[in-house]
Amino acid sequence: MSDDSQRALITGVAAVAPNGCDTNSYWAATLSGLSGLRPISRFESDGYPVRVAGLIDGLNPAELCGDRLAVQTDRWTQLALAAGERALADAELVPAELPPYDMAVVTASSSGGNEFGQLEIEALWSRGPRAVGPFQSIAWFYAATTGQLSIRNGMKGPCGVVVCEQAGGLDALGRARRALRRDASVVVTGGTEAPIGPYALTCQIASDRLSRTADPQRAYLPFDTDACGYVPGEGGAILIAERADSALARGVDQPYGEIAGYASSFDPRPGSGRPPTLRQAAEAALADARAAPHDVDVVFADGAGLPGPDAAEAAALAGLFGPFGVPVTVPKTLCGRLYAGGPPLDVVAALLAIRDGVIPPTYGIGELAPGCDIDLVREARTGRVQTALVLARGFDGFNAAVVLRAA
Amino acid sequence: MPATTMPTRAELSEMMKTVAGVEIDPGELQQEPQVTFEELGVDSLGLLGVLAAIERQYGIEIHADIDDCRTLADLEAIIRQAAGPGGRRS
Repeated sequence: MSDDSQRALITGVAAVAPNGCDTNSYWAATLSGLSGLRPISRFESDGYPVRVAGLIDGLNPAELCGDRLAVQTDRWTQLALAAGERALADAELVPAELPPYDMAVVTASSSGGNEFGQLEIEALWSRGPRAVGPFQSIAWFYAATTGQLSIRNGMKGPCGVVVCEQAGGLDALGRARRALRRDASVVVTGGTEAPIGPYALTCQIASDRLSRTADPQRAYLPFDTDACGYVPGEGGAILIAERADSALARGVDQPYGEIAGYASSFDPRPGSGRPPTLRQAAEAALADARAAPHDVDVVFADGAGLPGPDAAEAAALAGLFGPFGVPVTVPKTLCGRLYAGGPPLDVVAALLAIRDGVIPPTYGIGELAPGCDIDLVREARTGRVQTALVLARGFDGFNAAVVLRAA
Repeated sequence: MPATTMPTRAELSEMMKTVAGVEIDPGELQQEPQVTFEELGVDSLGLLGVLAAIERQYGIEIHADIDDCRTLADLEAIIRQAAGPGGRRS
């Protein structure tokens, strides 16, 4: 089996979130309760039932990328390019100094270049086929972010993209770890999402899972008796995953942590009578990490924000850890569900919890829904955090779990 | 319909900025028609976009292999051919 030198470490992180456009401000906001949920102002949204979104202010990713990249990328990719640069700087890793085929990029994306694609289709229908620009061919599709990160940084190793809605954000880390075992010594991973726009929102509304509450403080309440849907948001995080021996050779002495375990599962067909399989994913990830439930110091829950899925997640946690058996937190109440960007952001929060010895709270929750027998962390809880379990569920049945451990 | 079917260097510079996001001084284009688009930082997709913009603006159809369009001088020759007496207008 793997020895210490083969462990998958996280050596750099960069968060870009509605409540903090860089890692430090995101973490401070997460601990202090600063929310990035706002009334939608990005476009004329009066006719839309969804009123609130997690929006990033104070950062212009198009400007950060420069004109040449800005014309050929969607906001979703621009956010990842900005975060990618910061994550590499955080890891003190200079791609030009490493063999190109030893470096890879594996990101997650749930909806690709929404706004870019929407504008090109508008051009098609209003001005004809000749008005569609050539960059539509590379800007909208799910792998665009991976491609641009790969090109920009000269990373020619096993690159790819995972598309599993929110669960993909953890699946990307799982694949990154797999790549580190054989094919690469560095993987740029994580993901971002930019799903706030007319077309993108219309697609999401069709799921009937989005909150229609207009008050940002009451719109997204996972595990609460008043749970009424979730708030979508933009942003995410890019992380640098590195094999331990390579990191050591580079002189890394303070990695954020280790991707110690990963597993995914898929729910049975609705109406089959069989239960959802989030618990199985969590159990398999713990087994992969050679950890027992009592080793886990905190669970970063998926937090669907809907009564049924909330109850299912709470039941999985109570079954695995015992009722109220482990601290559970959902810091994403302050930024919304960021689809492919959400779980990487949760991973950043978990790694910082390990670094700083503090569990970030779940802001805004009142009374827990009946049957949600979980120890939901309401105020920041200090104490040693050695092992964190991060969960993510994707629309229509995807489940993923990652175990992070102090390095 | 514009008076001439040959874009000025200033117009080309503007198209490259808008379509390909690459900033090139028109004076630089004037002095160096043999500089390659690759050297200027305009990749093949960006060049396709510039050609499409020229087609739209001048109402012409450009039928040329993108590989034959490496320099500004190449581009101008291709446009001249497309807009000339034998060239089709759309």
